[in-house]
Order: sequence, then structure tokens, then C-alpha cells
Amino acid sequence: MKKAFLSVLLCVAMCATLLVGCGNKEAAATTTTDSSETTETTEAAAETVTAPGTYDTLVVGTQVFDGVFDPLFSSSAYDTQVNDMIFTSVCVLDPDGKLVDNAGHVEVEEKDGKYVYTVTLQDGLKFSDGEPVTIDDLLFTYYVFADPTYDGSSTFGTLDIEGMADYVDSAAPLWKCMMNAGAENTDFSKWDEATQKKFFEEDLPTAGAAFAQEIVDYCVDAGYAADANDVSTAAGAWGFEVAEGGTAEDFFNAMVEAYGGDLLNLSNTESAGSSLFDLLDASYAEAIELSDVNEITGIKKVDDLTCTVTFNSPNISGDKLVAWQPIVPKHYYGKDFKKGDLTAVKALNNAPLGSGPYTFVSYENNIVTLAANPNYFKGAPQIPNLKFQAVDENTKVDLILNGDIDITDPSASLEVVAQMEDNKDKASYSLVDNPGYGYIGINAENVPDINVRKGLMCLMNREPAVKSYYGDLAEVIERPMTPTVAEYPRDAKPFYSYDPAKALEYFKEAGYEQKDGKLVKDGKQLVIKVGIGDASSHPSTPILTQMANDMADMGAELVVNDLQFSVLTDMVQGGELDMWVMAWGNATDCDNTQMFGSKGGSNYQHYYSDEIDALQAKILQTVDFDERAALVAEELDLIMDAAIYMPVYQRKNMEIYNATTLNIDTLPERTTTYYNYASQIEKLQMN
Amino acid sequence: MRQYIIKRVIVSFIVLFLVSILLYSIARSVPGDYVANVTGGNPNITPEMQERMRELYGLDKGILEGYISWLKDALHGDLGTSFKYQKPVVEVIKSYMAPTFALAFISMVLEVALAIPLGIIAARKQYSMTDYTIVAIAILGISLPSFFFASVLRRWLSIGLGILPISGMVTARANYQGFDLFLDYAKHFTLPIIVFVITGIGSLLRYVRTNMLEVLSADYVRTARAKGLPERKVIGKHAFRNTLIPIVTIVGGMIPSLFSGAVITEGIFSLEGLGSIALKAVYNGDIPYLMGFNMFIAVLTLIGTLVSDILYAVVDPRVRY
Amino acid sequence: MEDNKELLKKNLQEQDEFEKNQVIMTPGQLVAKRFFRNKLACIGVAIIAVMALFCIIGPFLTPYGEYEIFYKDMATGEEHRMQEELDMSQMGINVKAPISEAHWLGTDTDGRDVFTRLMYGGRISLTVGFVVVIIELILGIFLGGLAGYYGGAVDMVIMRLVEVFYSLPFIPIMLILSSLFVGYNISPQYKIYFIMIVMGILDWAGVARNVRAQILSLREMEYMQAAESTGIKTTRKIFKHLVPNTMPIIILIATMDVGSVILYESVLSYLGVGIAWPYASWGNMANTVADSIILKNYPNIWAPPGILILLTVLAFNFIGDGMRDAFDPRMKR
Repeated sequence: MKKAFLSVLLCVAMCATLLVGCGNKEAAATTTTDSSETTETTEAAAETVTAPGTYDTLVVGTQVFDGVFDPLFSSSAYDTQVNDMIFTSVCVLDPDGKLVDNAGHVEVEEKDGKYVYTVTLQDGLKFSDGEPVTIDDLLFTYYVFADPTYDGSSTFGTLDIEGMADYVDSAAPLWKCMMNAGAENTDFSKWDEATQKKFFEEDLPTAGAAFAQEIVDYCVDAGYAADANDVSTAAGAWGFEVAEGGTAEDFFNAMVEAYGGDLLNLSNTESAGSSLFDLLDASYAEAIELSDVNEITGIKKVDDLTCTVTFNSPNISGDKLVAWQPIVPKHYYGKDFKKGDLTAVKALNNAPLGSGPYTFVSYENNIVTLAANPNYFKGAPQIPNLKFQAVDENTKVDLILNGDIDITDPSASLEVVAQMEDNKDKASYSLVDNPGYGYIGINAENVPDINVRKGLMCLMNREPAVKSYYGDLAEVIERPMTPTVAEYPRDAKPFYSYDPAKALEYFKEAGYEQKDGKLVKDGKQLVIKVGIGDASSHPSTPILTQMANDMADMGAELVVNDLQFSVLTDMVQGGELDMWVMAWGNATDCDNTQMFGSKGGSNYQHYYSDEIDALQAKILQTVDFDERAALVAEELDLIMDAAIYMPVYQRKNMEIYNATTLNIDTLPERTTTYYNYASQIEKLQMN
Repeated sequence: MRQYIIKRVIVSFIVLFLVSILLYSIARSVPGDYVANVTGGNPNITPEMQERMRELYGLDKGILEGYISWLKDALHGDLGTSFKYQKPVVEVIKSYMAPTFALAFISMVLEVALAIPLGIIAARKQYSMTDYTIVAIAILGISLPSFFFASVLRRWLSIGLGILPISGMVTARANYQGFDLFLDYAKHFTLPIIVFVITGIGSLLRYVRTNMLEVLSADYVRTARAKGLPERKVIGKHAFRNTLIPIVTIVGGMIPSLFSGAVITEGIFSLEGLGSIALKAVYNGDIPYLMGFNMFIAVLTLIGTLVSDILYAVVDPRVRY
Repeated sequence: MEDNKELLKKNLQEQDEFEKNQVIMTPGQLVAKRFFRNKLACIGVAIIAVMALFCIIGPFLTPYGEYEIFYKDMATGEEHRMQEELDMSQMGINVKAPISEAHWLGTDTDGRDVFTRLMYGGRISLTVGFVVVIIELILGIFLGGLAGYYGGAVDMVIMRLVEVFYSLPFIPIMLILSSLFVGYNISPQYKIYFIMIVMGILDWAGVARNVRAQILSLREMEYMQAAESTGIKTTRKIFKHLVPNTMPIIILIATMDVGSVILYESVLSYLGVGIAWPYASWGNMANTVADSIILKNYPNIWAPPGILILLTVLAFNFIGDGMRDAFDPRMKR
């Protein structure tokens, strides 16, 4: 028995060894028999597109896919790379980052203070299954993005498009519903009359009084009013008139009057802490289903090839948001689509179908296989097969030099460039600016003293770190915006230069003293907690090393936390760090409201300034470029002065090409941040 | 005996239950959830959107509540939907397990096939040059981290000599079919398997050697020799058989380590298997997949322990049930 | 006849010698003698001794700090230290410097001295190895001993616990836990201690299993039955009669595990969750090997930590093997 077991074991092992051995021989053989194999495959592809040269398959080296091959839901850049080949959009970016016509055209006109974008599709477009492309397909994209259950990364649902909010928020808290309906409402299908009466006659005034009292208390604390009963003076300081001896309720009524009954606006603008609606009983926060909104009023179909999208407010990138979206076949994805249920759409995540230059064949073994789409409106691509292979970042260059892949994008470093220069006969490369920048942020809530922040800024020795890490492949930037955005102030001077002595001055100005070798204020040592992701290979690491050293010399401490990216993100968002090192990517415009606006979702430095808010609002509505650029420069100076953001570097992205297999001359003449081989894949040829 | 086995199986389920509680609470208490991760770096995401996503993924629930709903589904064979792949976890595991199993199985077979004869040879010639060499080489394999071996071997065999592919599972450029495709797989799996075997064979080999040494000094082997049996027979028939059972038990214990080793090796060679996606799941906070994978390893480990315990009990009558 | 006599004499002589040895040598000495007869084991001891000296004394002799970076004047190529007053406009960081008199193994990708970091890194790696093993031994021996001796319900509970810990996949769990440390505000300076504790806690199951198995079979031995019949106290039975007899296996596990813990630390560092920046460990220094450019062009950065890990783990394994052979009288030549 045991013997039998062993012999079976040995047999299996020997077979395995043999197979492995054969594999080796095969490896040597394939390199010489490339041409014979390719003839085989071209036969298979004969009915569609055939390659004139030796090679008929373009292999692009990329990073691991999430497998979400659906432009509506893909979140990884690598999935998107594939999706871009399968789908088209109405407009695309040209080498300078400007929006140009692709499968259609977009135009904007101002009408009664609203902005109407008219999107027109080319006639005669077809999906790869032969069905015609109509405007319904684009509308389908819009509606998926705006769906209340949408969980992808598109922000379309948050745009200020007419009727969008109603569609997205098809459920709202009770108080909001009642407020919108008004005190005279007689439709009691969703709440009863007694509730409504109680709300408008008792609870709302009570909450209003509390709201007003909060303002009074605030004024008392700030010294504008004598005591909590001095409503009249406080209201005066707040800009409202209340008779001597008036109550908080009177104050509230005065405000209501001033706002013409618009309580939402009132609450947002005048609040001294709580919103008016937070002061209401919790039962009013219960959500009420408003399922009657089934379309977005601002998005209208005009004819089979035209639609209009109406924005309530100007948006400098409105055209991109409307026209630079994938056209997704409704007849395929949206057969059973109805509002609030995207499962049917998601079910097709791994079987995409579109009107782009390539069609999806398969995804297996970490390789996505695509075939040329003969129906592509710019003409069928010249390379019959396109494959995206997930490869390890560290092996990208070797894979190109070994001839395994044809195009890839290693992270640019001096050594990679040197290696490319050494192998000019085998490979070529292009360098373009990365549309993003690295920065060091400071949380103004955790480090409230501006002089401390300024001191920290003076300890950041950026030049040597960036220079030795990237050489010419990155530049130190002086304002928190990527220079690939046209509005970036190129002539900006350094705001804080490296100067430990000056830093110490700032710290002293903030009230810190050096005692027993420690930098202290009120007996507490200056300790700054900073977070960085993957410190061992981060260009900003030496900055922190020098900073930690200088601070130790002064008697302060820099605690450096080397974190995983997800943890770093979470801690930054949670406001747990004093300082952090991160980067922004994929910037397409000069809109900074998310990062620096008071209401910005990514304002993790928690620095709120009305001045910046006002400038930002102005920037977004300034259509003239020069004027806008001047405002942007002003805004960025304000941000720098607040010492919350230290921009560090803007680096280059690299793309390398296999010169043996690719016809290098068919690559785009100008590869830029916005335009690479993929932008005109149909023109690319292989040898 | 049967009672013992039944009891052990029931106990294993209890253990599995405890493991799942532990795994779930650890996975959930991590700062930096999936939503923070996918939305981080995107300046356009608002906190409201994040909240909405958390609700959709059930991340707004507490740990206990989350665990109970996970357990309920798991008992029905539904391990939830992977956040990242947007597919049921069971399906994700199914579609990625082929490379992992192939790697683990072939490596294990090779390890056993090499370790047993080499261990026996080393034991028979204890303290000889052969013994020293075999032991030294075996230990060398378990004295370096696998990522180190993998990188150096790849540099030498793939990039330097060019005889093996650098990474990946198939040659992308070629559209192999049938047997050619199989050979292509074999070619790509060679290096990972070599790494697995080198880093895994040492402990098994030493185990075989020690057991063999023990047996060789046993009385019955002396008797067998004394009665003039040829050495081949002494070793093959008397000595080896008695070392086999402990070896089988340790081979059972190797399975889980092969799978968790996959976490690293698969990543290095860009093989899309359970291990490499588990690593990504940790970084992303894809809790449903992570739970699925960890439970999968836990089940394998428990089966391994169960089998080896039962074998142990069968072999060694001194052990009380 | 002559030959026979000679042989007889020689045999007698040998027997005499043997008996003399038996009388003079304590069991410990016997073990030591057998141990040192094993050449590989001797080499192992020598390697560990050298490593320990290198890591303990070395840092006192180096002029540089563990995470000190060096600047280089871009124009003259002259090197400057971090503490100097420098005109930063023309400074770069002296990264990936070649081997020189100032830097015996060059500098790494952040411009820090590789040789100095090797010494500090060794301290960490060896400390991690020893501390983790001590923790797992304390837990493992205690729980394994209880389980093995008492059997029944105690055994049942402890062994289920062992199985639970056995079934936790080490790498994913460590990855998750290490991000927990950060979440709960554990400063990077102390992170290493928490990693050691967690590794120790995750690792004890193996020790407990082995100790239990050993005690299970020891318990059935005649001498234990004899001890039992004398009616001595339980603690005395466990710790005087049972545990000392499991010593060989404990020492063996300990030596082997020091090596494997050092390896695990390096794997964790490779995955980015090991010893926190800016502190060095051999593991996080060795993982530069994954960068194909460093692998190709800068062997002075990746090879030394690799070699030190290799030698150290190898040495611990040699010692472990030697000990096993030495402890087990059946292995006697």
C-alpha cells in the first residue's frame, strides 16, 4: 500500500519535472520561430483586419487590473486604459489639453442666466455590433452617473445641473419636505396634518429661537453684546434690527423677514455653529421617499443625435463634463435599466461593448485581449490585435528590452532614462509632464498657530531631495497647482526657502522658548506628527530626514509615520496628522475648491478663509483666460501665505516603446500629458 | 476511533467559527477602509458621496452587526460581494484559484519527490561530505527570504541568460492554443516553482533526515542488518516505511504555508492568483474578499491538522483519544 | 594470535576510556562534546558570535548616524554632512554613492551610509529574532505544558486555541495588524516592540503543540509513573520532571525559530509593514533587491544585507541541527 502510494507520488513528480523541462526547451525555440506562429494567428483574424508586417499583436504593459471593464464603474487607471480603447466620447483632448470634436460636437450658450450645452453626435456612427449610435446612448451614461445608487467614481451626479439634485436626492429628510411644501400644504400622503401644524407652529419657532440665541451667545463671547438677554445689541452686531428688549424669537423673525422666508439659505449663512435644522427634534430628520422624480429636467433630448444639458451656474469645465464622457450602448447595457437599480448594468462589467477602435475579446491570465473594430468611425486600426498585460512595475524596462511587450510606462528615473539611451537601437521613450504634483500639507486645526506653520515651511529643504531623486525629470514647484494647468503662475517666486535660523525665529514668535535643550511653550514641547506613504522610496523622504534633524537640534521633535497608502489617506481625512506628504493627480482645470474651499471635501488642512472662497467662486465664473490666471495667482499666494500647503515637485511621466516591433514613426508627433499613442491608436503600425 | 473523528470534525467547526470572528474583527478595525482608498487622491469626491458609498457597502454598520450579517450569508455559502471586483467572492476565488493551486500542487510534489531521496541519502551517510553538502544546500534555501531568491534568480535566469520568461502567465504576443498554450504556461511557471521548491524543501528534507536517523538506530533495523539483508532492502523495506507516516503528517501541514507563500511569490511574478489579489485586498480594504481568502486558508489548515491528528492517533496507540 | 591480542587490548583500552568518560562527564558536557564535534554547528556558533559583535559594538565605532543623509556639492562633488551649514542652492543628496573610503559600502537610495545601517539593522533584526522567540516560548511552554499534563477539558480548550492561532494566515494578518498600530497612534519608534509582541503571540501555537506532544508521551513513561506513585506535588511533577525532558525540543525550536523570525521580519518589510522608516533592519535593507535597477547596478546596496541574513539564518539552523543531534543519544556515532 505504502509502496504504491510512493510510486504514484514519484510518477507525478517525474511528469511534472519533464513538463517543466519541456517548457525550457520551448522557451529557446519560440524566439526563433516567431514568424511561423504569427502566420497562424493572422489567418484567424483574416476576416477583419490583417497586419502588413511581421507582427500583428501590440502588447501594452500595464499594471494589475481590477477587471471592471465598464467605463461607468471602473475606478482603476489600468481598467480605464482598456476602456478607452473600447469606447468613444463626443469630444476628446488635443495635445494641448483643449477639448476638440471627436464623435460629435459640443456648444454652450447662456440663456436667462443658465448655461445650456448642446451636444451633437456625428451621423452614421456604429457600435461594434453594428447598431447605430444615438443620443439615447449618451443620455444613458448621464442617467447611470446620476443614479441614486451609483457608486462609481464619476462626480457627474454632483454637478449643478437643473433638476439634478432632485433626481439624485429622491429621498429627503422630513423637515426639508415640509419646508418645501410650505405651511399651506394640503397633500398629507407622506405626513399628516397634525405633524405639519406642530412643525410650523411650535417646533420651527422654538428651533428658530434657539438658533438666534446661539448667535447672541456667540456675540456675548466675542464681546459684541453684554449678556445673553441683550438680544437687541447682538442682533445689531449681526446686521439685523431688533427692538430694545426683544427676544431671541424676535431676532429670528427679523432674520426670516430679511431672507424672505428662505430658511435653508438663512441657516447656511447666519449660523453661529448649529444649523437651524440640527436644532429640530430628531424625528424630523427621518427620510421621506420622493420617488416621483424620474428624470433630470436639465437634460433634454432634442432629436436622435442632439441633446441639451442645462447648468444653473457657470462651470469652466462644463464642456468637458458633458462631452468627455463615454458613449455607452443603451440597447446593450440598459435593456432593463430603471432608476435605483444598477445591477443589470454592473452584470456586464466584464463584457464591454462600445464604439471605440477595438472590441473586447477576453480577459484571462492577467491579459486583456482586444481585436480591431472594423466599424470604427475613424477607420479600422492597422494592428489587428491589441493586448494589455499586467506586469510588475520593477520589470517593465526589462520586458521592453527583452521584446516581451511593446509599450509601457515605467516610473521615470534617471537610471531608466540612462538605460533607454544605452539601448537606442531597441527602444525609444517619451517624457511628458504628470498632471499632478507632490506636496506637504499641514492641518491648520492641529497646528493652529500660523507662525509655527511658517516655521515648519522654512525647514523644508526641497531642492536637493527632488534634484537627486529625479534629476531633470521633475521640477520643484512653488505654488500648489500642477503646471500642466494653463493658469499656473509660472513666474512665481519661492514663498519659503530653506532656512533653519528663520524657522527658529518663527517658532519663537509663536511663543516657543528653548529651555534645557527643548523647544517649549507653556511647558509643552513642539512635537509634529507627519505621515508619509512608502517612505523608503519616496522623493520627499530626505526632506523629512533633514527636517527631523533640524528640529531635533532646536529641541523639537518630528515624528515620522511611514504608512500604507490607504491608512495614510484615512488618517489625513480623519485629521489625525499634523502634517502629511501626498500627491494629487489627474488635474484637468484650475478649480481648487475641493482642496482649499471652506466647503471642499478634500480640505484636509481645515483652513477656512472667506477671502479664498470668494476668489474661487470668482475664478469659476471668469471666462476670460488672462483675467482668470491673475485671479488664480492671487488665490495661490493667499494659500501659500496661510502656510498650509508646501508644493514639492511636479514630475514627468515616461512611456517607453519597443523599436524592434513598433514602427516608431507612426507614434504621435507630439506626445503630451493629454495625448499619447492611445489617442491615435488607429494610425499606429507594427513592423 | 470513528467517534474520535466525528468529535474532531465538530470541534474543527467550532474552531472555524472562532477564527472567523477573530478575522472579521481584525479586518474591520483597520483604519482606512475601501471607500477612503478608492476615493483618496480624487479631488472631486465629496464627503456625501463617501457616506453614500459606505452605506452601499455596509461599512456604516458596526463590527458586530457586520459580522452577524456576514456569518448569515456565509452559512448559505455566500461570502459576500468583493468591493473591488464587484463580483461574488466565491466566484472571484473560483476564477483565480487555478494558478495558485497549480503552483502549490506542483511545488509540493516536487518538494516531496526531492526531499525524500535526498534526506535518506544524507541520513545514511551522516557526517559525511555528502551529508554536509545536502544539508547545507537545503538550509541555504530556507535562509533567505523568498522575495530575495525570486529577484536574484530572475535577474540571472530571465534577464541575464534569457532562458525563462520574466513574469506573467503566458506570452502575450503569441496566441497559443492547445498544447502550445500548455507549454507556454509551464515555461512561465518554472521560475515561481523553482523559488517555491528552493524555499520550501529545506524543512521537509531535514525532517526526513532526522526521522531516518532515528529509525536507522532502531533495534529492528540492526536486526535486519544482522540477519544479512542487503542494505537496499533494509532501507527501503524496514527503515523507510517507518518514517513515512510522520512525513505524511508534515506534508499535510505544508499546504497552508504554500498558500500564504503565494501572497508574495505570485506578486513578484505577476501571476494572477489568490495570493496576489489577497495582498491587494489588504491594501484596498476589500474586506469580503479578504475574509473569503483568510477563511479559505483557515479551512485548509484545519483539514491539514485534522488529518495529521487522526493519522497520529492511528499510528501512536499511546495517545489517548 | 598476535593480532587478536592486540585487538583485545585495544578494545579494553577503549572501553576503559569510555568508562572513564562516562564517569567524568556530566550529561551537559556530553551534549556539548557531541555538539562541538559537528563542524557545521561550530561554524554556526562562530558566525553568530561575529554577527553579535558587529551589531553590538559596531555602532559605537562608526562616525555616522543610522539615518543620517549626506549632501553632495553638485559643482565640486565634495561631500557634506547633514549638520553642516550649507549653501543649499547647489547641494544634491549623495545617493547611491559607490564604495569609497568614507562609505565602505556606499550610500543607499536616500543617501545614507549602508555599512552603518547594516550594523544598526542587525541590532534590530537579531533583537526581533530573540524577543519574538522568548515570547512564543513563554506562552507555548506554559500552555503546552498545561494541556499536555492535565489533558481533558484544559487540553481541549488550549488545543482549540492552538488551532485557532494555527489557522490565522500569518502574512495577511500581520499586514492588517500593522496598519492598526498606526491607527491607534503608536509612534514609529515603538512600533517595533508591538510587532515583536504580535509575532510572538501569533507564533506560540507551534511551540505549544510540540511541548504538549512531548509531554503526552513522556507522561506515559515508567519514570513518570514512578514519580506519580511517590505523590509529589503537581507543579513539581510538571516543572521538575516533565519540562526538563522537553528541553531538547524547546531549545531546538528556539534556535530554528530565531532564524525564521528574522526571515519573517524581512518579508514584512518587503510588504512595507515591517520596521518603520527611518530605522534600519536587514529585512528592509534587503528588499531593495526588488528594484531591478538597484539589482542590476548597485550590488553594494542589496547584497550585503542579503548575505548577512543568509549567514545568520544559516548559522542558527546549523546550530539547531547540531543541537538536535547532540541531544539525542540515539544519534551517537
